[in-house]
Amino acid sequence: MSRAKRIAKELEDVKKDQLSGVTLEMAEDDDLSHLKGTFLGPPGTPYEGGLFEVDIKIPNEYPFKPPIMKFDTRIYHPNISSQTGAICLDILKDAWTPILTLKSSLISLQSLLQSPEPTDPQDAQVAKIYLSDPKKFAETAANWTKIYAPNENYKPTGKEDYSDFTKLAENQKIINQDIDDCEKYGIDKNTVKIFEDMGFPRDKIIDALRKLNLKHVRIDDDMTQQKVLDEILS
Amino acid sequence: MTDDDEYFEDFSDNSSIELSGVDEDVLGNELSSVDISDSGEYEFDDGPGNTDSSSEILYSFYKSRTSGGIPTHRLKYRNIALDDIQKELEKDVKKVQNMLQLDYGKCLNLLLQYSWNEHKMLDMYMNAPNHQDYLLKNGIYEAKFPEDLSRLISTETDENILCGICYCGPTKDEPMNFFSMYGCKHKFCTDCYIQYLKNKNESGSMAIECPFADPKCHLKITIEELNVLSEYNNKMEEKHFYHKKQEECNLLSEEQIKQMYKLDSDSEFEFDEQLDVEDDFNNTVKTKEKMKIDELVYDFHTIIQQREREEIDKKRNRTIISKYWYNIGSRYCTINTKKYKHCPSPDCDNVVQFIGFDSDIVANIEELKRLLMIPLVRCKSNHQFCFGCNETAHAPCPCKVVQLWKIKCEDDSETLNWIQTNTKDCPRCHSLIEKNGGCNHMTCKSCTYNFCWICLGDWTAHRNNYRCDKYVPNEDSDVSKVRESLEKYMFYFNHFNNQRISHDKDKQILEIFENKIKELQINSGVSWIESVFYKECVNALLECRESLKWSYAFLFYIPNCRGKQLIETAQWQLSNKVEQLSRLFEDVEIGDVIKKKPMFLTIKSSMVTAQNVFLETCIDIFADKHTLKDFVQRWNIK
Repeated sequence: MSRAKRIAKELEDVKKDQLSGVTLEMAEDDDLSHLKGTFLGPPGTPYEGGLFEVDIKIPNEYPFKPPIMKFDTRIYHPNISSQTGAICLDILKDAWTPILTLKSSLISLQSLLQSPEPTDPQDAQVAKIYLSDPKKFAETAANWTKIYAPNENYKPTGKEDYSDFTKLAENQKIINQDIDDCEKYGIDKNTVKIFEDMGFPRDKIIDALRKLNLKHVRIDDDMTQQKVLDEILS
Repeated sequence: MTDDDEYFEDFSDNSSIELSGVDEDVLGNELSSVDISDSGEYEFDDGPGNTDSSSEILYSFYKSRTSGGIPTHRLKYRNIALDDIQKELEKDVKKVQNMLQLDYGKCLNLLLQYSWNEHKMLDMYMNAPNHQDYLLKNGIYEAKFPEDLSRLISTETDENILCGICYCGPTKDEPMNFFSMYGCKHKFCTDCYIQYLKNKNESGSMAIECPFADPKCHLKITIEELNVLSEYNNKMEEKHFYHKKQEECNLLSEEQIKQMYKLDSDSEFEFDEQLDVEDDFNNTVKTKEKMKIDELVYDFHTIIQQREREEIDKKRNRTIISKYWYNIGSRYCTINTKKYKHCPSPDCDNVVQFIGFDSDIVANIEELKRLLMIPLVRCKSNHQFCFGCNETAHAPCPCKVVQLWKIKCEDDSETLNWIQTNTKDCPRCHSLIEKNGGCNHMTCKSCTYNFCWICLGDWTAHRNNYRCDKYVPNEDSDVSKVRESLEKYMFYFNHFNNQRISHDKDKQILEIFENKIKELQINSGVSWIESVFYKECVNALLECRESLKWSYAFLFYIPNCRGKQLIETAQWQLSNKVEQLSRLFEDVEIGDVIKKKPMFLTIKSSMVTAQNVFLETCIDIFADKHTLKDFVQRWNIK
């Protein structure tokens, strides 16, 4: 009862709001458990000018369980499967809370396009290109947007400047390299984090762990931790 | 070895370091210097883990290894339910509470955050520059709870308020109840909040965060606040339940019944809750000629009331708060898997708590496994399982052999699929026969030929000499070695599988039997306690079948030697008894069950003796330290 009421209300709210560029409609007549949503590609990204359609299935436990979303429009993005349209986004999984709405989820998807998270990729191939060659990535993504997500109402501004977007990718690449340092020596990231939290520089921690030939230290294993600390300080 | 705590420290230290291979000398010493210490010597302090003195300390199965047959190498354990873990954990929380002077639920949340690592948690707390910030980071609001937390639920009539989850709001005529945590004031209607918590509970979450998301509120709900909602929920459910029941059944009120049967309105009905109403009702039926009709109605009324009460209890047993503690308890078990083991039987919530060993020869489970011992334990509901590998009771096979056998069966099962088929041809008329019970004595329906299911030979040859369990290599045929080993494997696999099937079939027959026994109780007035023997026989039979089943896997891995012959003889005796009892279950008429009670009990006791003899013979094969070493190497046990 409350589920149907809530979905109906959400549909109404989205209809009222013209500014956000988000739309929400029933996929079939009178079926409140299967919806289709659309949103606009965020400006300043290769997705600008695209209109993306998302398939939304609403579980019986909604709003206590998250809606099941996937892209109908093909999209080139590290966190979205280029084949199936499956989405990797925390709020659609564990981080969902009943106060979130379909509209807020669609807006979150929009911001996901703006700031990809290549460290937790859905499509590893795409994520690799995103990190290694951001310019090429931006080109491909823009091409896909033109081919698969054409928007009739969009008036092109003429400039295709993705420098902000590629800059973000460069930054993420640097962070990622640090993580790679851990992976290279097979050292557990959380272990490094324990010592980082104590205020030691990352490279020193990794050096010490390598010297002691430790890959992993349990958070409650104080004796070993002390050994590592001695090594770092020596 | 006087202090139990010290013992545990040893235990955990050893286990965190990679254990090297078996040391010859150590092994030798362990076996030759069997030091039998009286278990009474151990003293347990009253720290967490040894608090409940009422539950007795039990010993794992496995009595003798050395010739004297004196129990050694046993695992000491205690049977507990998840509720008992709750009691222990509550003590831990209280301890922390005394130190930090925070509310109980907040301490609990902190401990959950640090996976019950109290030391680490206190360390982090003490070293934090600002306690308030530290607590907030862990989703805790520092300020103390007020006395009366029930005020967190407020009844609203303001039309401007809207629940952010269901989008419903109160009106002046229809007020709604809202709840918010003490620290955050994010209000949602109680129904939604309860539903939210139930969903989180169902997925096993602990320390559930406030649902508010913009910006994310990280405050975690405490047990005190959960309690408020849980109690509220119970009240509502009870109300709803009675309301529904009354509408559904249109039950007559007590007053109406009194009036209808013109009972003396002064006479008070006393409802004895302990009374077995079902039984009472049956007796009533039995002597109904003497009973007055109004008393019957009174009985019926009490039965219905009892049922209702039971249904409410069932619901209450899984209230928000109990489910929450259940999650905490089972998580705690999975963290401390060395000390606690969940019973692997389906729908069994019991837990076995590890205490130690009855001698200081072995320090941990791994060492015990290396000595080819099987730490079989029983949970509160009498399900037997292995503490070492969480499998069902697999004696006489050591854990490693079980592992080897399983891998082998998985590898070869594809080619041997035909063996698993449940049908065989009748040796005389070749009509298809499906095994219908656990007993191996088959009678063909079409030609009435009596034969043995396993060897397909004439049953008359079996009657006194049941020997088809033994593998006799076929010497006449000139088969290659590979072929022979396959044949050997197929022989044992066939028997293994056969026992498995018999086990299941027996179980089915016995379930049908059980229902009939219930009928018997009603019809002929046999009391429940008189038919308990039957259940005991069933369990013994199933356990023996389990032992027999694993004995085939065991024998497959034992090379030909003198010990093997002894095992085979003992095995034959056991399977003889098992078949006898299984046969008795199949043949006996329901009406005769009570009459045949002595027969059941005699066969059962001789079967159990045979089982013990068999298992001990199996253990004895490793008694010699050289043999043991040989097997450890053979099975590549690290």
